[in-house]
Amino acid sequence: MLTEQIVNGIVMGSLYALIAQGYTLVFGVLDKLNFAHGEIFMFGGYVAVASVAMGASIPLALLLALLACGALGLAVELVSFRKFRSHDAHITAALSSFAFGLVLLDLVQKAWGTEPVAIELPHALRIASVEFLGVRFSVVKLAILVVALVLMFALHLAIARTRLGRSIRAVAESATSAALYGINVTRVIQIVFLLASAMAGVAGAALAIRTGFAANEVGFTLGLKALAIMAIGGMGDLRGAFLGGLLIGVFEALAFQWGFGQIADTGVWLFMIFVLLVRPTGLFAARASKEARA
Amino acid sequence: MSALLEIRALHKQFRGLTALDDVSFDVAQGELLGLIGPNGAGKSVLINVVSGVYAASAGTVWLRGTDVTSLPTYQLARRGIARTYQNIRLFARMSVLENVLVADQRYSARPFRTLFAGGRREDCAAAEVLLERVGLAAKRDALAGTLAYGEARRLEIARALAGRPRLLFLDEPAAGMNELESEELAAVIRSFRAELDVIVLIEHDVALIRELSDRLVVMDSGKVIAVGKPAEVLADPRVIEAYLGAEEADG
Amino acid sequence: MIQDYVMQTGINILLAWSVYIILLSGSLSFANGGFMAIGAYVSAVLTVKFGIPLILAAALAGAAAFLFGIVVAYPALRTRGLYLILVTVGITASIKVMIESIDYVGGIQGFTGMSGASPWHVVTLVLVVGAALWLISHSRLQRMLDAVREDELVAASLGINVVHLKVACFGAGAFIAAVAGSFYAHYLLFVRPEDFGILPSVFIVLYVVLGGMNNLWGPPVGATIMTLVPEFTRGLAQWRPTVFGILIVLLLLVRPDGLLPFRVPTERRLRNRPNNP
Ligand SMILES: Nc1ncnc2c1ncn2[C@@H]1O[C@H](COP(=O)(O)OP(=O)(O)OP(=O)(O)O)[C@@H](O)[C@H]1O
Ligand SMILES: [Mg+2]
Repeated sequence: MLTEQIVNGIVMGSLYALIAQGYTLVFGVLDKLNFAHGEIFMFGGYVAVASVAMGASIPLALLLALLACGALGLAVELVSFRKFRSHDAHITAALSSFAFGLVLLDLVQKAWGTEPVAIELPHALRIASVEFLGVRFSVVKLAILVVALVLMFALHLAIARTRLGRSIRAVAESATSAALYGINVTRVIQIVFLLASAMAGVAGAALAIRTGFAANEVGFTLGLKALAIMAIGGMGDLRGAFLGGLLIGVFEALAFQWGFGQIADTGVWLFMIFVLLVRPTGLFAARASKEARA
Repeated sequence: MSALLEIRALHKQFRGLTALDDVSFDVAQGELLGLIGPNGAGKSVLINVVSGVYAASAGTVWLRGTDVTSLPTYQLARRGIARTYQNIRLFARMSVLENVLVADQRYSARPFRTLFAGGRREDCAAAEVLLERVGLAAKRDALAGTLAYGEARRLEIARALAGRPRLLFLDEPAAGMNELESEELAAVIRSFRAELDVIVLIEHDVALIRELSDRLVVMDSGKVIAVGKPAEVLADPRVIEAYLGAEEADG
Repeated sequence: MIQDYVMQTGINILLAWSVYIILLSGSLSFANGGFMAIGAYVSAVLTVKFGIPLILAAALAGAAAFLFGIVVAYPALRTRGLYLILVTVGITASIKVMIESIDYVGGIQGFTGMSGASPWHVVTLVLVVGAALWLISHSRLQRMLDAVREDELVAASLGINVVHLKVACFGAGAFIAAVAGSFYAHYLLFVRPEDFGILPSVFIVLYVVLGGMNNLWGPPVGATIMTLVPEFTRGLAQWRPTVFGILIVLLLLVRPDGLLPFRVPTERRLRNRPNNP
């Protein structure tokens, strides 16, 4: 029972991590918060529902969610961030993306209603499980975990090893000097939004598949929690978002197991506040923050 | 008699980097002290520590015999320490006049009791006198952010003086000015000498510093390497070497 | 009907000003939905369970939020910019979840039994707060706040006690949000924790940003438009949220600094030199 809860926590945590990495990618490059991110994650679930309803396989549904949400990410960048590049525009950008999220949420409610929509999975798949070390694991959960981990590892490699990754890091360091080196800053920012939103889309689709339905309040509940997780892990820190996601996922699962699930929700926010006050670079960061220059 | 400002064994560490390394010197009542040294010597850091912008890592700053090392910035200001910034930091969206008015310490010490206090016309008149003295009277209602470089530097000085300080620290006030402007600036600084107990002037312009200062402190790599009369210090081989070394490293 | 408009607009104006007051010292607060919740629940408990008159209850609720605001401000205001935004979002989220877990005030089900707020309360309060802000806007205090907002460090080196001002603003904003919350609760007759979550907090900030945050007129203009536009687009009934969202996006694109972006100088030539135009 306990093992199962921990596995559940890790699966949920890997989804948190996927979403949180999207927040952190955008923050790292632009120093801005994308408040539409949670709703894009929510939309991923509905894309999965629609694809499966039209006969798509599960992998295809994940792919479609990835593509559709990636495209939405480009739209958010264009509408809510392109014009608000300067540092003091971070509030404007945050509010504009928030409004974008409102529109998306409303349109989803128009199309699918406000009640959760069930996703039609083959019965065999739903109950499929494997036994490992004497514990049974659901295949769907394990598959979700694998997909999430593979995506995050691929992102890590892309950022650390590829030319694109170098450009992203250069823009994160300083957009002005990146531009001087001939990097197309706008293109890099677009790609960052594309990646961040695509990952959120997959997370949304995976959540729908795992729970068996798509719900429209998850953007606001889980999406916002992932924001707190991003801050706990360290704003702009991919590794921190990953570890933070797993930590909170497991913490919640255990809290649920031991019967104080209610409090866990406040716990995440209070914990975030604590981290921001005591260690603003995040729980897992190696370096302390710089003293402001005068 | 002990000096007005005593700096004793001051250290400042930024992670690995030692920006101030055992800095000690005195400044006497009425003195205009020149503080020079190559780029990165630690001059600005010293001002930042003395004015409370940075916390010292170790050491003591004595002001009139009181240890003021760990006082918060605003209390140091209320004890008469004023300063300008190497990278100009005016309130860009406020008018030139407002930049000066806001520095009046009779009000900043008790912000909520000023709501109904009168005397605004007198305040304005006093601020205008200051602006007149730094040659900015005509710009009174311009936004500070629209000032030319030299004007902005002079407004910083006026703002620093508006709090009626006893000690004034100027961080490269002539940087980026042409010869005529720095001449005018020298005249402005001289005109305020009598009203202040101490002026500490950081400057790279050797002509200006030689002309204005009573005494020089030379820093290099966080250490004080020479103290004395300008003519002697500027002839000191160690000082020349510090500058030449820095120039070679640059070129 | 008209009463509802007055009530809603007035409360939203007060809320917008409560964010604006905190913003005077440079901090953007998403905690005001939480402060509003404190006001609503504290005053509701006082009137319903202890029979205290509404005005007194609202004042006490405001005082409670003021104290709470000051206590959280000291640590919270050590952070800046987006970090502070996240901290204040966290404050609102925590307050909401905490209220949900207090059975004494009905938990998730909500709390009811209060009544007695009239538009006159709110209109009076709007006038009082507006007059106070107007007084401040022409004062030396405003100038010091502007300095803090532009550059805290320089403000401190001019002798301004930055922490003191910022904490005071935070407390004052919490007070006004809580009083507004009190009247809100006693007008709606029924409140639930979810009335005060992050969503309302974001909307209050939106009022301020859309109206303009550099003068005291921007926030009420933003609040009024944002309250009444949805009301008068009932023709579009089912597309309202979408139209509303698109409107916000467009407004921000066209007027990123708000509808009334100007700052009013605290000292002007005309005021001081009547004989010298
Ligand atoms: N906030 C800071 N964080 C880290 N290092 C700093 C900071 N401020 C200054 N330094 C370092 O301390 C050293 C001394 O810097 P400082 O600005 O005092 O030099 P300076 O003598 O004023 O030079 P300049 O003539 O170029 O102004 C430099 O190596 C600088 O990089
Ligand atoms: Mg310097």
